[in-house]
Amino acid sequence: MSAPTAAMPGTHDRPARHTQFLSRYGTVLAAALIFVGFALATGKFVSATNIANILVQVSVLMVVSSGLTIAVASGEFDLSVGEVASLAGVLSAGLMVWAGLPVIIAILAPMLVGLIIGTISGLLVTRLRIPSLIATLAMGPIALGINYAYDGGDSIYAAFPDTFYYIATGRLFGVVPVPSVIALVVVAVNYVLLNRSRLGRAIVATGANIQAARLSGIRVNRCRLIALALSGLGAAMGGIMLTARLGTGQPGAGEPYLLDSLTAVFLGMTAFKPGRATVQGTLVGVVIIGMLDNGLNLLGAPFYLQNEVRGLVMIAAVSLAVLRGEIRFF
Amino acid sequence: MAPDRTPSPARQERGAPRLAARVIRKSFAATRAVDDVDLALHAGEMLALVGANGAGKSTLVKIICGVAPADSGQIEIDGKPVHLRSAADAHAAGIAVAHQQVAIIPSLNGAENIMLGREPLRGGLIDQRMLRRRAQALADRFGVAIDLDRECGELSIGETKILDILKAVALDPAVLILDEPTASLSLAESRRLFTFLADLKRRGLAILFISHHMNEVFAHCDRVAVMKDGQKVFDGPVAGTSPAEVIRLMVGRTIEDTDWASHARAGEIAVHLTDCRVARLSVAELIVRRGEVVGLAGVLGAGQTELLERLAGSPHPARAAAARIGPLARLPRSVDEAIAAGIYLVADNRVRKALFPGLDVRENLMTGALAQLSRRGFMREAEERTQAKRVIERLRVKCSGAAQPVMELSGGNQQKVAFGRWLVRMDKAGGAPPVLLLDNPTEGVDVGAKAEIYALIRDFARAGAAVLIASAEFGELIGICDRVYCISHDRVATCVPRDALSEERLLLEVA
Repeated sequence: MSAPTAAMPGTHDRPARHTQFLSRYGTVLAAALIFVGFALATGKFVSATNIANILVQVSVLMVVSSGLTIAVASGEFDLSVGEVASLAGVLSAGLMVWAGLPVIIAILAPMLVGLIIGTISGLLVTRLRIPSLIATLAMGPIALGINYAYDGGDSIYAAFPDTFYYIATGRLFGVVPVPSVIALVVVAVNYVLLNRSRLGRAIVATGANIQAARLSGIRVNRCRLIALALSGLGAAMGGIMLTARLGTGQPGAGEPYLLDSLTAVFLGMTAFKPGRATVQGTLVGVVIIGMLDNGLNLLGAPFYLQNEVRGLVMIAAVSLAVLRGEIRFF
Repeated sequence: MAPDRTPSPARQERGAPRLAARVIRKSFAATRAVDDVDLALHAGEMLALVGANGAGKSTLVKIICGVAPADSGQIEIDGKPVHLRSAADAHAAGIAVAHQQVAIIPSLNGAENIMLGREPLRGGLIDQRMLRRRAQALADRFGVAIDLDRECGELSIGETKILDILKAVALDPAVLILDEPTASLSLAESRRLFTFLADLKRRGLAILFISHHMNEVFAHCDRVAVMKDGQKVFDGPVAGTSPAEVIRLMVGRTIEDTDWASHARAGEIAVHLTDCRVARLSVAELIVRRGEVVGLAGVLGAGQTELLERLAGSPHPARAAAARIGPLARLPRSVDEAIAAGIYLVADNRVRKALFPGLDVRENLMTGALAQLSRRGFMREAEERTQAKRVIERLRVKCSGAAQPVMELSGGNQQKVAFGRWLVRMDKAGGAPPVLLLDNPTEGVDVGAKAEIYALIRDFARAGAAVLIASAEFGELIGICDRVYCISHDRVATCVPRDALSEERLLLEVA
């Protein structure tokens, strides 16, 4: 098992009610505190434009992290999400600019590519029995190689069709930013998948205890494969959204999303259902990262401070969960 | 081999015992697990500690090893009282332990394993040559002729066991505690181990030997201490007693069977194996009829787990001249197929194999019937709630509600959830009465919940289910089984009918 899983305490002493509350909602509370903190520190933070800004900024991360959440829920890691996002982004740009294909193809084809890469990772994990940590680590450079082979390592600059920009800058009913709508739809679909569907239940069971899942008649390898495939799909969708936002197809654009999405998922594992990767938890994690980036920016903090803070937040969240025995690694 | 029962000179002098435990007491809730027990162990002596499961011997051993604190009492090493708050304390005080599971890392070689954690350093780095030399010196001192340069993964289980013990005695302990050292060894490997132990004894080491095997106790130990219900009921030289006497002391009372009636349906055979072999366990013939509860008695790790898991579709290597399980005329090819055919396994070690930590009671209960509880890919929530409620009520699972995380439940209630998972599935599947395979179903379950689980098993049998149950607690097999197959030396050998069942008989059969 490579991904962190809920701890298996030998004892069953029940935590006191307030600690239980803290362990479930502590991360949400932290998010609220961060919000209040920035709101007090700078008046610009709570303005409608800025909040809309944050929502747009985090939407790509949310989509990528949703896919990763499913992988982690199934007990697997996906370290290729950054490279897959990059590849999907440049493919999408290239298909429109160089191949002159319609926008719908330029969106669906890269998504398919992401799904295929995820499926290959899944096959490596389930057929060749390579730990997902290693299989996806290897698939990353492979995706990057295809990326460079396609674009020669250069960005794809050119005007895209207007309909393509709609996924980044459009406003639904003239107000709601389209990328946020996409992110929310992805969250909703993921929520239903993990909480309401049979497949999702099987995936969560596989991640919680693979041996028990197998002995329950759950086809655990199928679950792991699908989870990794969906992770690839999520990464590809994020990459396409990113290209639309940047207005160019940049070969390295998706790279930072690996660490960000892992941080979001781990933060999420400390919320609501401690020790479990849930999409609602990941949402909280994504929002925390988005607020920190945005707030520090508004305060005029040097750019490197964002990275420091992000790292510290991840260490704090995970170590708290480990100390309280909620998450167990390996 | 010849029994080594010659008392060493050190023992005859009878100075201060190397290990003395005085008036040790330990309670868990209302039960007194260890009740004012005294134990003394002299140099050059091998003392066997025996007792049925739950008699308190493992608690006593945990106290001596520093793993669990005693409520009261004192431990002395060479006449000096020691305070053991951790395994490291015990180790430092001169108490070495070789656990049932060997602590040998397969990817390291023998020398590296023996010196693990005590590697000699030079300039901050491991001095490989010095390490090799010290390990070899140790092996030579104890007359061990295993090639220390070989990776331990290539060694036999017996060899790794000897290395494990060598590692334990490397620091010249006063006492060596051996917990079921022969549990996973072949007969030849056990012989070799005992030769080695006789050597250690001759060098003045005091050995505490924990075993279920009467023949080992009587062939190799000097003295035997018997525990029962938390008390030491016998302590004396093996020469002054007999295996039958010791077993009688261990068991003490006979288990009363009230209103027991067989529900076996003659002619309706649900499980029939002929000339079958699963992993290293051979089965000449095994039959379970509908309505019958059939036991599998064996020491832990005798292969019963693999057999039950194979019958439930797990891919353990197996072959069978002929096999029938429920509606299948062969061994099931997969867990899916077995479950679809109404063959349900409640696995041993529920936390590892049957439950989903982190998920709540309801989610756990539904894991065996996802297909039956969903429509077009979506879970049917209302149906889930009804099922969860029904099972929680039927099995009287004590929980705050279906949404309580399963790991917060007590062992007995966790086990009920493990059972309940199949109740949900059976309810949705319908059809012929099931084949139930139960592997140590009352492990870590309190007395009250045990009784409820027994009643549940008998209920299933009355409704026509065929039940095959493996247990290391022979008392419970006697309580609920029609017949009991006994595993001895990798073979399912004899089948003891109900009227001949007794703990004495089963203990002798599995030896």
